[in-house]
Amino acid sequence: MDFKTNLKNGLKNGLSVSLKLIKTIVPFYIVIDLLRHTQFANIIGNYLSPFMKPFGLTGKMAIAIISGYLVNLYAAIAALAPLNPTWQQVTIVGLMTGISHNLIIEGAILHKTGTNAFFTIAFRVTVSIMAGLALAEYFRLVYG
Amino acid sequence: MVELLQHAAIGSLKLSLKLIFIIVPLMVAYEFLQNSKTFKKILRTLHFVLKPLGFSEHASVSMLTGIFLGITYGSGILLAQSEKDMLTKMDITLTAVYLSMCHAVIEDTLVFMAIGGNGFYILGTRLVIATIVTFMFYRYLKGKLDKT
Repeated sequence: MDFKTNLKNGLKNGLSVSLKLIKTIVPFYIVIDLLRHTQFANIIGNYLSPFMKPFGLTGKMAIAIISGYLVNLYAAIAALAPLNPTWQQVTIVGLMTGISHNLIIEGAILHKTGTNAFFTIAFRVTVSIMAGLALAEYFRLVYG
Repeated sequence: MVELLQHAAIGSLKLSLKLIFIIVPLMVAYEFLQNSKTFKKILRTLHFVLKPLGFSEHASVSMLTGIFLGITYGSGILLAQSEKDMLTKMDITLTAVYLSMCHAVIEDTLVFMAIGGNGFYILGTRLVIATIVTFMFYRYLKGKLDKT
């Protein structure tokens, strides 16, 4: 493998990932940024805020977590970025969606290979929630 | 309304560009690393860490690829290796457990750092939790898998 091949393969992989990312981010970001100004988002936010409080997140940020769980990390980022999160909130969402994301597609693939998809999904979501709670608690202790 | 839409469109494009500037160099760097001599040294170091968790030596390649680049690439290598009968049943189970929680960590961490997250906590917590859970699985499966 020479320099040129490495560079070419690297660029090719990078650009194909980038394309995938734009396709997710642009629509998600626009929808969330527009929703942010509506009454609808406030209603959802108020309704979910008690559930999000233990994670140190606002109610609206539940949308980022759910987007990450169901779609992928770029959807989570696109949903989170317009909400002006603090660095602790970005970190917690990053950790939780990092552990558990893209559950529909990855679950379907796992199901095909014969693994129990329900188990792996439940497992990842559980680990993700426990990790999020633990890190949020840590941030509360250390940073107040 | 037009203003709001414009604001959203510009914001989304800015975010996309930011992430592309992170991902493309990362992929190029990984391509170079994968084809370099340092790669073997990293594999050997990784084995020291993975051995107490129940992994055999051959699991290192798919673990390294999976952790850094992602589960799609990692599982490709994993499948190729398991067809060659190089991996134990324990290797395959533990790799699946570990990688289900912890894959493509560099990319995941960097993209959240791009919008202000703390990379140390995202990466550190993920690695620690995946290691603990994998170890629990190893302890639980130790007696059971050996018998079959």
